[in-house]
Amino acid sequence: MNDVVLGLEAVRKIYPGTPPVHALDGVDLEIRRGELVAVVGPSGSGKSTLLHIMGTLDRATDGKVTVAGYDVSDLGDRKLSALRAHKIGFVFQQFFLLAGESALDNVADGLLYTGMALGKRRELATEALDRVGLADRRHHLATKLSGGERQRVAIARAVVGRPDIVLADEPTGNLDSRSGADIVALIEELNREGTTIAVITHDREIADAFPRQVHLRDGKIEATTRPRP
Amino acid sequence: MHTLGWPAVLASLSLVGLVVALAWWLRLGIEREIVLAAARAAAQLLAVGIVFTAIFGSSSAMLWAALWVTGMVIVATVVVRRRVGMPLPHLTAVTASTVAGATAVSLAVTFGFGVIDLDAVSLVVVGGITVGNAVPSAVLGAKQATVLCRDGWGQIEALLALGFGPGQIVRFMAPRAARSAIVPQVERTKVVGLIALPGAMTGLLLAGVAPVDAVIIQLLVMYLVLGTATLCIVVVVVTIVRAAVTVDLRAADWVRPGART
Ligand SMILES: Nc1ncnc2c1ncn2[C@@H]1O[C@H](COP(=O)(O)OP(=O)(O)OP(=O)(O)O)[C@@H](O)[C@H]1O
Ligand SMILES: [Mg+2]
Repeated sequence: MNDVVLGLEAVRKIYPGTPPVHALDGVDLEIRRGELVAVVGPSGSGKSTLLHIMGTLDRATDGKVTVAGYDVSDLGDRKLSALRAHKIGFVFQQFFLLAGESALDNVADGLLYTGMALGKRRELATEALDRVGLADRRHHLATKLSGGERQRVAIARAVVGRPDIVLADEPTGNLDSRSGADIVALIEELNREGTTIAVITHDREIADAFPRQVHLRDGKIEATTRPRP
Repeated sequence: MHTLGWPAVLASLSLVGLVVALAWWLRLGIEREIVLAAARAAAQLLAVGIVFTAIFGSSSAMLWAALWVTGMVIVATVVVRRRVGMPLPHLTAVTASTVAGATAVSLAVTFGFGVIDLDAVSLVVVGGITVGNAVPSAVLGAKQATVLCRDGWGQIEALLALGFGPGQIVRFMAPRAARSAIVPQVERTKVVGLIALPGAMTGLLLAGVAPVDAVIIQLLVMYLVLGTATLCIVVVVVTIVRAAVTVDLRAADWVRPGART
């Protein structure tokens, strides 16, 4: 059985301009089911670009990207939407919850594409909020929650559809160290429960706590620290 | 008509002169702009006056008037396009057809119900009122929508990441931009008669039309303007927000923070 959830082969990303920016310059990477990976590197090294390409939000200039066995470049827009909705969960530094909605409905939005009835979506959303420890806040407006709580809601939204992989770009970047540590603990817990997760982080301490680190520099993978087999 | 003359216009310039003096005294740095704007308005209006004299005196005045209105629609489209400042899919076609459509409805209502007799002058005037109000609204809508999409870049990506398509993204993003562009128009409508005496009515009153007739015509103009403005805003906003997502379901380059234009 092929347990590679996400694969990059010779991926390059060039942003046009004068001069063009080679944000990624030949990246090969495989992430296997159940892994917890930290992507680290200096500012401008291409981390966000890498995560966006892994999450299909950006297109590689060339190279091959596969997610859950699908070659991303082959997908039409329906399949691409379905892949994003079912296979990939995304967590952003600035949360990006919908301001006018409750925590519960924000999480339920994560299932909108499934076509499930609202009742069923809310039921699953409640479960997901429970997983992140926010079941009692589910009726609060997203805007009324603290930063750490908002990020928990965003994580619940990312995992509610049981995606094959969760991608997080600096999920603790907008949080104080205490809530940041809570989010890291939550990520580790979700991983123990079986979720595959890749996290971009500036924080050495966070990265060192993860079993595998991918070091980016100038758009290239400089080193990979792997767990002992 | 009597004692219409340049001395009166020159006298009205005295207020502008006062403003220029004030601007100079307060070092606002906009004296030049005020003078230029005043001069420009004079030049444009004079030119229009000359053209109108030719049009209305011509034997095929109606044809020329119709051409004039068409020309205004084209200019309106170009202005909106230029204010957006970047080529967006469908924007030109959508703007042109919306302005044209709204103008057609306005003309049809005004002349179809015989509110005003159809002639070259009234055609140009009613067309001008509609198009003239469509442009600032469309421009404001365009501005709000582009700002919203750029500021909301991350939000758009977050929605895309959930598997949302362009239609759903428009549903989430467009209302805010549309609302903030429509509000000034609604506010203006609310204070009509209390603070602002609208242009059509003042003109009619000055020309000696009975107040009630002036009110009817003003109401008609106002509703047409409100409808035109709102329609243009909604259509432009939706078109722009739609253009924030590419056909292959990514955030368009122009909404990205690193985008270079
Ligand atoms: N839309 C864009 N257009 C042009 N250049 C871009 C664009 N997005 C990113 N870049 C450039 O690509 C390079 C990699 O950017 P990226 O955002 O991936 O870095 P990063 O490692 O995430 O940095 P940070 O830690 O500061 O978030 C940078 O040089 C950046 O300026
Ligand atoms: Mg980044």
